[in-house]
Amino acid sequence: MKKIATTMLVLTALLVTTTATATPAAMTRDQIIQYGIWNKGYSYWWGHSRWRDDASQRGSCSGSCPDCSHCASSSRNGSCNSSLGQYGADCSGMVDKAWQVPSPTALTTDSHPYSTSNFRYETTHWSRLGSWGDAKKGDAFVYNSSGHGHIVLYEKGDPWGTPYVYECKGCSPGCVYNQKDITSSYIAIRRHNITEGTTTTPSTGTMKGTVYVEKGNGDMAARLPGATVSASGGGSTAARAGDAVWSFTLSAGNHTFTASMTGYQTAARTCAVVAGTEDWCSIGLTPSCTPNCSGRVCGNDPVCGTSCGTCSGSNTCNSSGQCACVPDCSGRSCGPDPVCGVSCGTCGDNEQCDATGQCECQPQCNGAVCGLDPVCGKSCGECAAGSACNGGQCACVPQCASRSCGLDPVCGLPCGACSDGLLCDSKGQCVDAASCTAQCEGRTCGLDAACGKSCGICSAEQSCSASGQCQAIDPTRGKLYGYVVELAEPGDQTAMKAATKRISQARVALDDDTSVVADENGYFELQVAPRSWTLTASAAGYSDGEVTCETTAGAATECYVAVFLLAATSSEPDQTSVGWHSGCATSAPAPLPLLLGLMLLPLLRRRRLR
Amino acid sequence: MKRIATAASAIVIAAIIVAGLLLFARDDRGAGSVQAATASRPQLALQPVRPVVDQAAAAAASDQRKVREIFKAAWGNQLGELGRDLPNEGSPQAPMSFAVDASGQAYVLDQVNSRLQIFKPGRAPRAIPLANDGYQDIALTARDEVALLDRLVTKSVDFVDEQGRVRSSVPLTGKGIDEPGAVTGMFVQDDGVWVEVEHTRLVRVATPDGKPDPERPTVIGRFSYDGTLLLTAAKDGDSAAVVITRPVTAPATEAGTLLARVPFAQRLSHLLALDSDLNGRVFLGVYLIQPKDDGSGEVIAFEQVVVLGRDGKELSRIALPPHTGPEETFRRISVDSDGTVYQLGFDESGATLRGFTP
Repeated sequence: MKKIATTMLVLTALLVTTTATATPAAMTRDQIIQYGIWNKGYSYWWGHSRWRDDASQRGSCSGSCPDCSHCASSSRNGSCNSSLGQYGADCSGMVDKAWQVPSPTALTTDSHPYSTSNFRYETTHWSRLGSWGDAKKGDAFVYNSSGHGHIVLYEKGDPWGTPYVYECKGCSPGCVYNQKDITSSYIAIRRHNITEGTTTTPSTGTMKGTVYVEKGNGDMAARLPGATVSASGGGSTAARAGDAVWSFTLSAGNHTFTASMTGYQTAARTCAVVAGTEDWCSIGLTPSCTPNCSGRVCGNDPVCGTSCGTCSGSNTCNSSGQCACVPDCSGRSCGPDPVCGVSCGTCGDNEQCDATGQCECQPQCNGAVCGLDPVCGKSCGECAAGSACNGGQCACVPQCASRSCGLDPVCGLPCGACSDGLLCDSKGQCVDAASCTAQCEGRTCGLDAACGKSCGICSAEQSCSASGQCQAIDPTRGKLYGYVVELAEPGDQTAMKAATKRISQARVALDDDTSVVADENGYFELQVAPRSWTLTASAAGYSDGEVTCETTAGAATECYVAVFLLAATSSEPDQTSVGWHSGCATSAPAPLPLLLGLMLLPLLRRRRLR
Repeated sequence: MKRIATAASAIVIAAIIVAGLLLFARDDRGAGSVQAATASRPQLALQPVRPVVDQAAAAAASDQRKVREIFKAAWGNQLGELGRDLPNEGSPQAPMSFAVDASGQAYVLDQVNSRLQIFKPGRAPRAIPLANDGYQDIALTARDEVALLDRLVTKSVDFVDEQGRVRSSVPLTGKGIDEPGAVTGMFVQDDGVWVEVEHTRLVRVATPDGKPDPERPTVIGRFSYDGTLLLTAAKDGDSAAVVITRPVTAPATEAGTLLARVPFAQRLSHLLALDSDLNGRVFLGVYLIQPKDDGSGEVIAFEQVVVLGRDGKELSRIALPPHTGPEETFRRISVDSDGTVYQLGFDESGATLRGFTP
């Protein structure tokens, strides 16, 4: 039986071969596929090909190809049940019929002109496709090698590219429609005379959609025009302005649409394009992450790095996401910046910001009018010509040139002292007291001009006038008089009056900067306003002494003042620099560490703030 | 001219007669096309393969330390052999699918011989007989049963015990599945058995105890190993593929996130596998082709598995021996929890299961 069938197949092939040069009748791809649709469900019938368009009388098959028995039984081990019909096909018979090669044949007419060997190695009514991946609907994949072969009718690919095929697989499954793994054993072939696009059934459909901001709640209001949308195998386009709608016209089947836009995660959807229809497949894009612009109006949000806004004008965005003027403190360490007027920094103690924004040390003169301040080392002022700075104060510079004693003629400061038995003459020279003759003509009191000797002393009720005449004490002023004496240690007026040595030509200064020189006996006399006076006595070889006495208008006040031998005080350095005070309250001497500290202060200045 | 035509006709007739005699001769062998160990094997001419041109793939292929052979079985119907069917005018087939359990046992769907064969290194193989030779996919359940997919004959998922008895059967056709031939995979989850349709969506057809799921819910994509994501993949043009993820909680209408766009040096014919492992790596198996330039219409094939990190960054590519025979398979690549890529490969001598470490 099988041999007969095979022979029939070969003879049929012979007849076909002799007419193989004819072009098959025109068909559309959909018409080809329609044969596959009709074929689905029919039984596998080796060497045959006929079926119906009403899915009836599908036949049955048992065994394995090619030794299977068609309708030999209704079940695997029974007798043939004719009610199941006698229709069916094998794989190549199915493609023969679907392609209607070499010429149109009725669906129900059993014919099997070509086998897989013909399809694989001949090109009578079909051609090999140059590229295996170029198969279209209605094309076929065929393999044949060493007496084995198979052929399937291709319809489309799924999203993976796996082919959907119509095929008559074998006895057990029969003729089916399924997705099938095709390997490189197969080649793709295409029937001649397929009339592309002439079918009334459209093969393409339109897929439209929008690109929107995915909010997870179905809200598609926020559109993303300009987003790039690509379709698998269908190119790409930009979502149009405004509503962000895009559109593709594609072959029927599943297509993957991918949308992307800067700042959003690329997303894709796979949607089915149905031939002749228009469907929608909108794509929502999720921001790359959720920006957190809370409290920010500019700059990038700290979560996603996306912009929270921009600043206008000269304002720039600060680290807090606020638009603000940016100070220009370049070259400045303090004071307001010239752009925004905000502080460029503050200066340290004893510093002050100058006009250029630099911190400058401020001199701490504390009453000093000259010399360098102890903090910055800067000048506290300059002294006038003829004076010099001493302890922050301008002091007259004695002009003692050619003088060895007495007071200098400029400042009235002592130029030296004469030894015992000598007197200082008017030219500042020490002369023998005995040999210097006083020039007291016309004078009864005060000092003579030549030797500085006394011309006399007025009574207590009188005072000596400038012309050396004793006269009544000015009733508005008081007479202050006394002796400069030498003491070993501070003492009161009684002690001073008891002192045995009086200091000649000592200088007695008042706290109003007036001064007089004592005579050769240490006597001095002044006409002063009635008040409390501080007298300071100074003499060469002695440390100064100080005393406070109060004068009364129109009266005389006796007031001794002592000086102290330097030799006697040299072992007490704390006291030598400031002298001893007596009489009235005295101020405490400054301790040495404090003085040293003041000297070092300029070196300890704070660094300028930046 | 007439002489030439006559001569040509004579040659054609002679050729056809020879072809017919060959067919008789083949029929006279009387053996089925199932290739048993004792039967003479048909000589399948494998397509010649040109040198691999993808440098990355070549480098991976050359690293033999990353490849281990799990088992090798000759074609045949004896225990330990696997059936291959190469019919004339019918669909060739070899083991359609396999699965590897946590202990390393490989379950191979030897549907040509109507059985499951279980291979474990160091032990003799064993078989579970099957009443149906139409199964195309296998999945292991937690109940010592095997789920078997038959999308074309019985159009069902059958649950088979260790003796091969069908304990329960669930129809494929129903809510979510109009065309069983469009089913592209079967997966067992804690909540039941899901079948994949058109490599796009999953439909849960069975409950964990193997009963029909009355709800038959649908999700878009495949479950990741940890069950938190749904993975989908698609061709993107002729030389790239995209992998898309979406949370399992996302509604089906919501667009997924593009994990990666993977370009290829050769033309991408179709995808072969999409899987993930315990570490969140995603594995994309692809079948690449390069047309020959000799007008034959033949192509050179390449198989690769691209390994993607959780962030979509490509980690490596594994070059696999390409399947160049005509045998139809349903699942020949699988990935286990630690990322080992298994491939059931075929050649003229038999089938070999190999494990590739990425």
